[in-house]
Amino acid sequence: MMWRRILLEGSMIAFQTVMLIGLCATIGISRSDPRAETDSGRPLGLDLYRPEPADNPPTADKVRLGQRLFRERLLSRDRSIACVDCHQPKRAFTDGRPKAVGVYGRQGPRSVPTLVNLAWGDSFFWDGRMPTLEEQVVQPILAKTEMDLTLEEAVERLGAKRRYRKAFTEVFGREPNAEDLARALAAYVRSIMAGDSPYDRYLFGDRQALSEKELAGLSVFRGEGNCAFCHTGPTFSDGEFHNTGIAWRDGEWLDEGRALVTERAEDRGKFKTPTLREVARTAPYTHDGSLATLEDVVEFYNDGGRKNPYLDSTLRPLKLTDDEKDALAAFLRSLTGSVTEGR
Amino acid sequence: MTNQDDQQNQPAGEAPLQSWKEIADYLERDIRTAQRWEESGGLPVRRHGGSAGSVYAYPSEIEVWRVSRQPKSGGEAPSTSVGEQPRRILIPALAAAGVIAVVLLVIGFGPVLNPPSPIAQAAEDGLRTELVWPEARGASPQGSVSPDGKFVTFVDWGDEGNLAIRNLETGENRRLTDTANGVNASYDGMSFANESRISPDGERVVYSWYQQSPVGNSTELRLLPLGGAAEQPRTIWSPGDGSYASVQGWFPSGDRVAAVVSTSDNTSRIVTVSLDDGDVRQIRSIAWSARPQVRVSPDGRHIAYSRSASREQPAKDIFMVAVDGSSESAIVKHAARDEIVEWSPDGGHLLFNSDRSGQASLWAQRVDHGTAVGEAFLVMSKLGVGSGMGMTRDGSLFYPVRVSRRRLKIAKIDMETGKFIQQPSSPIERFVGGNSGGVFSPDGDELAYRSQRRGWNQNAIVIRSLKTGKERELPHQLRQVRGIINWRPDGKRLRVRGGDQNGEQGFFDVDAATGETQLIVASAKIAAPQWTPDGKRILGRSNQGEGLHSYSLADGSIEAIPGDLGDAYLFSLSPDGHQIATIHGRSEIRLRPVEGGDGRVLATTDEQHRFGRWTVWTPDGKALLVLKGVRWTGRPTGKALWTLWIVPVDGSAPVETELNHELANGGALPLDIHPDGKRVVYAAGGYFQQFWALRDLTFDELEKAAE
Repeated sequence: MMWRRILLEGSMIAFQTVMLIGLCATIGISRSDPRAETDSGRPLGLDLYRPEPADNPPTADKVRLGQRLFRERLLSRDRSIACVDCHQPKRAFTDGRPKAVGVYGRQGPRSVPTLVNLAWGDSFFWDGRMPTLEEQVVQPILAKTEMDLTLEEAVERLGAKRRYRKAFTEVFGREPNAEDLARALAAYVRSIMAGDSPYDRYLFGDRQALSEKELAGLSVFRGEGNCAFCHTGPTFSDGEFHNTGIAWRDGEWLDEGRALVTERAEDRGKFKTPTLREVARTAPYTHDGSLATLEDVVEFYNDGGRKNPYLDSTLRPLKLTDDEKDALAAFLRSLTGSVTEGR
Repeated sequence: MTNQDDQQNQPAGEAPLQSWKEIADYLERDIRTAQRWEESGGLPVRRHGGSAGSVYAYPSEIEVWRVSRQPKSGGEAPSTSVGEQPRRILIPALAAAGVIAVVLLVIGFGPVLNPPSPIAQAAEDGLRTELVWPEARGASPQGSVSPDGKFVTFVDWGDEGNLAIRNLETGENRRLTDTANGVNASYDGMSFANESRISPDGERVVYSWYQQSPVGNSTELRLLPLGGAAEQPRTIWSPGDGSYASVQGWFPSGDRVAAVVSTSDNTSRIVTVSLDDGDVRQIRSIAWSARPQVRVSPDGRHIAYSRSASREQPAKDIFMVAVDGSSESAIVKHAARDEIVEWSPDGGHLLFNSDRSGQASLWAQRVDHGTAVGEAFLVMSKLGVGSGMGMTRDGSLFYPVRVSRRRLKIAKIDMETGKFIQQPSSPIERFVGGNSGGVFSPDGDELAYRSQRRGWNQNAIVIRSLKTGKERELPHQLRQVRGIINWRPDGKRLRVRGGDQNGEQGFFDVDAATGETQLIVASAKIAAPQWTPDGKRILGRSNQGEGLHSYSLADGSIEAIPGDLGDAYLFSLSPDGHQIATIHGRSEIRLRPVEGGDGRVLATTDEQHRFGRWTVWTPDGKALLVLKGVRWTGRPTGKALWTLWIVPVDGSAPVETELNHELANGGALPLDIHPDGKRVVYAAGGYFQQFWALRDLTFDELEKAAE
C-alpha cells in the first residue's frame, strides 16, 4: 500500500515536472536565456534592487518550496485547486476568466490579477487591502470563494506529508506552520518577474526593437493618452488607486473598491493600477473582467472612463483617431517579454 | 573705501563696470547717487591710472559693500565705515559674506541679505570658504571639479552651450566641444552639453549631450579626454527613447559611470554605464520623484541618492543602494528636506543639505558598510550648498551658487501712449532676488508679494504699505505658496495658490490681517481659476470635460460653459465679468463673451514674434496688457526680449510701452496693474553663477566638535 502511494506520488511529481518544463519552454518562462536577463538574473528593464523583507530573506530552497506549495492542491478544501490554477504561467499568472472561480465552482467577486513583479509592490489585491505579500498569499487559501481552508487545516495537511515536513525543516528548521507557509509562498511570488520586452530593449538603446506602429503607440501612451500618468516605471504601475468608473453602472457602485478598506467615500470605485507587463496575455481586463480585449480597454479610456461622482481627475475623453488607437494597442502588445520565476 | 588704481587685486575673471553710467545702472540709482555713495558711503569704485583716471568697479565688490552696510530707511546712503579697514583683509572676507548672503535665498537656502553673515557663520563653525570664480556669467552649475581642485568643467552658455573647462589658477577658460548650437539654432535643431563629471584620475570627462530634432530629442553620454589636444568625443550610451540621461559620477575603477535617466512617464532610473562596451545596469527606479541627485561611494559599492518619502511630501530622505542591488537602507531619515551633496573622500561620511534647523545648512552623516552610524551632525549652519560639484582629494567641497538680480519693480505707464510717467523703481530692499508675484490691493494702498525667505518651497507672504513702505509678513498656515492670485474685492483677504500642511493643493483664502488660512477649492476640482466680480463663482478648467466651467463657491457644483477654448489653456476674465480674453498659438488674441460664442480676433503677431501666455485687463476694461517677444530660438537662459504692449479692446492699434528689456521669464511673467490704471508691478532681472570652495573639511574633527 505504502509503495503504491510512493509510486503514485512520485509519478505525479515527475509528470508535473515534465509538464512544467514543457510549459516553460513553450510560453516564455525563462531561467537561463541570456538574452532575457541581465547578469544579475533580472529580466531587462527591472531594477537590480528588489525589495525584500528583512524577516523573510529569499533562499533558493525557500523559493523552491514556495513554488511547490503554489502548485499544491492539498491547500484547497476539495483538493481540486492550487494557486497555479488561477495564476497560470501561460497566461502571465492569470486565468483568462472575467471572475475567479474557486472550489466547487464558486465564483469570486473580482478577476484574477497577474502576479508578475509583485516584489516591487507595496499593497496587494485590487483594493490594496494587504500591505505585505506575506499577509496576502494566505488570503486565497482562506477565502470561501477560492480555496476555502483554514490555516490550521492547511498546516495539518502539509504536516501529514513527509516531503513537506522535510522541506519545511530544511528551509525553516521546523515543521510546517502558518507563518512559514506564508513566507515560502511570498518568497516564490516575489521571484516571479516579467521584463525583457521589445519596449525594454528599445529603452536600453536598441532603436530597432519597436516597430513604427509600436513607436506611435508609445507616443500616444506617454503623450495624449496620458496612460503613463498611472502606468509608470518599470512595473507600469504607480501602485496607487484610481477611479476609472468601471465599477459604476446605472448610478450605483457594483464594487466599492478601495473604499472597502479606507471607508472613505472619495475612495469609492478606486482600484489599484494594474501592471501592463504581459498585458496581451492577461485578458479579460479590469477588476471585473468586463473589458474583453485590449481594443476594448483603449476604447474605454478613449471615452474618458465612465463618469461618476469620483471619477479620477486625470481622465477625460482622448479623441484618439483609429490609427492612434491601433497603435496604442500595438504598443501594449510590445510589453510582452520574458517571465522568470524561482530566483 | 578709498579709491583704487591698482588692478592686481581684481576679482579673477570678473568683468568690471566701466563707467559711472554702468555703475549707476548696476546700483539701479542715478549717477549722482552713486557718486555720493562713493564719497560718503565707501562704494568700492576704482580708477584707471590713478585718482584722476576713468572709473571702474567690480560687481562682486559692490555686493560685498551692499551687504556690509546697514540700510537706512528708503535704502539711502550707507552708514558703516568699511573703507577704514585694511582692504586686503576686508575684501576676501566680505566678498564671501556678501555674495553668499546675496544669493542663497534665491536658490532656496534661506535668508540671504540680512546678518548674520554666512562667512562669519563659517568662521564660527571653524570653516574656511573661498570664492573661486566670482562671476561665472553664462556658466551652468552642473559641472564638476577636478580631483586636484585646479579645474572645473561647466557649460558655457556664452558659447552656444559648449562644454568648457576653467583653470582656476589662471582664470582661463578652454572650450572642450565645438558643435553646440544651443543659443542660435532653431528650437528643433539645438544641441548642447549639460552635466559633466571629471574622472577620478582627472584625465577624462563624461558629459551629457542633449540634441533636439524634428524627429525627436535624444541624450548621449559622451567621453572626452582632458588633454590639451582637441579630440573627438566618444559616445558611450544613449537611451533609445530619447529620455534624458544625466551623468552623476564615476566609479573609482574609472571604467563605469552612474547616471540618472528621466523618462517622460515621470520615472527616474538610476543606472550605471560601462565605458568599455556601453553595458547598462538599472539599479533603482523612482517612479514619482523629481530627478534625484546621485553620488557613487568612493569604494564603488554603493550609490547614495535622495528622494521624497511620498508623492505628496516635499520632505526628502537620503538612501543608499548597493550597486549589485542586494540591499538598500535609509541613511538620513528625518522630517526635514534632506538633499545629498557629496561623499567625503574616504567614504566615511555623507554630506547633505538639510533645513532641519529652520534654515538650509550643510550636515554630515557617518556611514559604515552601507549603514548610518550615529547622529547626523552640523558642518556649516545657515548655509546650503546646492548639489555640489565634487570634492577634491584634499577635502575641499566645490559648489555653485546662483546670484539673483531679480527684483520686484513698479513702473507708471501712460496707457494711451505707452510712455513712462514714472521710471521703474525697486522699492523693496530686503530679500532681493527672492521676491516675486506682486499684486495691488483693491484700494491701491498696499502691495502683497511672495518672498522666498524660509527655505525650499516655503514662501513668505508679505504685505507692503505703498504709502509708508512698512512691511509685515503674514503668518499663514500654508506649506507652500505657489502664487498670490489676487485680493478679494473687500481687500481683507488674499487668494493664494499653494498647498496646506495636509498636502492638499489648491486655492486658499488668507486673511490679510491675521494670516488665517482656509481652503477655497482643491486644484483637482478646478484649474486656472478666475473669480467672477461678485466673488460667488470661479471660472476655470475642470475634470468634468473640456472647455470652460463655472464652479459655485456656495455649493461646489460645476457647470459647463458653452464654447471651446481651443488651444488656449489660460484665459483672462474682464473686470465686468462679461468677456474672456485668450491667446491662441501664441500669435492671436481673441475676445469672446463668457457665455460662449465665436468672439473676435483682437490682435495678431507676425511670424517673428509671439505673445506671452496670458493677458491682464486694465481696471477700466478698455485694454489688455500682453507681453510680446521674439519667437523662441532655443535660448535656454531666457534671453528673449519681451516688451509690454497695450491692446485696446475697441480694436484700435496696439501700443508698445517703454517697459521692455528687463522683463523676466517672458511668457510666464506675473504682472499686476494698480487700480489707478497706470502703475504696474512686475519681476525683473536675471541670474548668474558663482563657484565656491569650502576648504579643508576634516570630518572626524567636525564630528568630535559636534559631540
